[in-house]
Amino acid sequence: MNNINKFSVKRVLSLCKMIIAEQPRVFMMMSLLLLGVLALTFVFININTYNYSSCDFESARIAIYIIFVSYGMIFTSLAYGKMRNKKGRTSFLMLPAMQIEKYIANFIIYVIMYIVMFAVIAYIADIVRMIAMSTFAFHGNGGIYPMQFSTLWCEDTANMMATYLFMQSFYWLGAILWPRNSFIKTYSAITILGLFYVLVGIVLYKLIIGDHYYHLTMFDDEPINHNLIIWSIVTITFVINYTIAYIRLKETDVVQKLL
Amino acid sequence: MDFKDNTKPIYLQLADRLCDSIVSGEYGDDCRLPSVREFAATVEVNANTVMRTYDYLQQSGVIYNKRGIGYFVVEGASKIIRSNRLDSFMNEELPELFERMKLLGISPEELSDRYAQYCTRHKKTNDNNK
Amino acid sequence: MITIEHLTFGYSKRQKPIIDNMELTLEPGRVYGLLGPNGAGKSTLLYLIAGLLTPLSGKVMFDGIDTRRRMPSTLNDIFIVPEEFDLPPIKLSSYVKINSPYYPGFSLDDMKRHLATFGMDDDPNLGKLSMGQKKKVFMAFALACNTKILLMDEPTNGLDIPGKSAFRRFIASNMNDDRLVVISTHQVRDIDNLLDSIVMLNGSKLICSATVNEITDHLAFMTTSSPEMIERALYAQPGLEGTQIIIDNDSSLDTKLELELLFQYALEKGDELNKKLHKNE
Repeated sequence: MNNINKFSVKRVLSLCKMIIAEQPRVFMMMSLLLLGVLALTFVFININTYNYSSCDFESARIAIYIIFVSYGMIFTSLAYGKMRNKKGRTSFLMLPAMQIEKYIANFIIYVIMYIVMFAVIAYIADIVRMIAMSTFAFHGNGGIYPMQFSTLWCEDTANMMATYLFMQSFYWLGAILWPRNSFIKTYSAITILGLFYVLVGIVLYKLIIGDHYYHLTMFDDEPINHNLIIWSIVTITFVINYTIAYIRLKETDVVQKLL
Repeated sequence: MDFKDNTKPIYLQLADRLCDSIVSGEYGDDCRLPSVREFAATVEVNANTVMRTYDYLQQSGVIYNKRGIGYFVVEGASKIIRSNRLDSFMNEELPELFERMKLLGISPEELSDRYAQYCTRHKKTNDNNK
Repeated sequence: MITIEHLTFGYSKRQKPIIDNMELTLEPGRVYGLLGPNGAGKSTLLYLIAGLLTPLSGKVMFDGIDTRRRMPSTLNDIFIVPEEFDLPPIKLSSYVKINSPYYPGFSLDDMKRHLATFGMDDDPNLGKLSMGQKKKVFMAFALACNTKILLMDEPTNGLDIPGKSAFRRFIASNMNDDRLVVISTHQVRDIDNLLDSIVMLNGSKLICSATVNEITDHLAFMTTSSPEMIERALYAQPGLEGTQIIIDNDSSLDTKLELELLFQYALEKGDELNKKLHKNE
């Protein structure tokens, strides 16, 4: 009997299957939509590339970056959709599994599976681009080349993941705080908070540093490791948001006092 | 299931129903009665209430319990039931009837005459009941 | 098996609580009727028992564990059938395949039996069922999970007449010494023969908590036209065949509990009822 109250990977996987099985159409639609967006984007870039044979690399990289992060934010907002109403919350909370298992199962589907899915769909989208280009477009010398995805895996990928994890953690928290209309509410909250912090930052800057330039030279002496700073901020933000989200999940009742 | 008599507790109404079944021969001597749960489902009543019915019938000497197997009709239960019902009629229902008759001013002779006439008219029905 | 200790609950600390310092024990092997006027907190109490709400103070213990902790070992032994619920738009067989592994007591045979009792098709698409049909299917599943605790909120609402009869047969045939059923309802006539214990709420307090036998030991229910009896009665309600009354059961009468009558008496004079029932304590 004690085994039931211990963390079980088997149960987590079973919960993952449940999330997909309960709304298969949503996942299918989101995948197709992503495929469409990526394919159209690649084709568009390809058409505008001077040399028709492949996509302009820079543009493709930027496009993937933007789509990966923003689509990721939207997809994350779909998490915990069951908690939208009282009926859904009842069945979610009454399911005999640990809250942490339910939490991790949602993470696996809405984050990890997303990342994997994105890579696969990007690859398929490229194939679609090649087929589209060779069928409909005229090309000069040689054939159409697939995109060199391997060269995309450079330090830009690290930046892309960092941005994704950073933004996504806010939307993850938003998905638990506001299961209804999660994306809009989170977006508004971030914008308002963001503006607030920027304003506070500007005021503090003026107050503390102001015209005292010599303070800045102290920082100039040491070479700053940009990567370290970025990843520290991302990790701290990620951990804070995910912790608050988990606490909020544990506190969720079937009737919410604050929605 | 609709229960007719407004004031009799359900467990007694169920006991009556089972006794009717025994007297009519539906459950003969040493015949096995439905289990508590089966009977509860049939009449759509709480099993604890049915349990009370079975206990009551046991105490009345109409059924007996074989542990682990079930409840069975006592040999000669029909006679016991009839005798119990006769007692109950004589000691409870009759005095009530007599009270009402007394208030209405009906004499014993009048009652006797009417009962005799009734018996003659329904002789066939009486024969069937024996 | 379920002990409710000093339970207080409300949505706002400033307003009057919905449940105020409630003490209650629910024993296994019983079918409890949970009654009360609209808004008295019946659904709230069911949610609290299931651990779906956080009390302001006090707790609900199920076999020694606080249900609010929502541990899998309590969750897999409690099943709540709410008044309204959603089912995913998938086939029943898929639903059973996905959900039944979480309930170790689940029996597919029982499920088939219950569905048959309700006359439901073998494998419908849950998204295409009417509310009444969904209820039948969900209740069949709920019972097939064979949890120790079964909580039901207005279970007969939306059921057709054969469905109500099937429901009664369900509950009657699936009682056992380990199982505890709590049925919250306004439709007292649908289920009153199924109940062996009554719990009544009114104005955040428990106005009655007793078994049907305890109630009929202390009170007698009858129909009369006698003005003296009506005068002396604890409570009287005129009806079709006479006036229904409740009197003290001084002569050890054995009468049938009239639940609706008792309910109205309790609403009017809850404290008096409580005192009468606990006279010997």
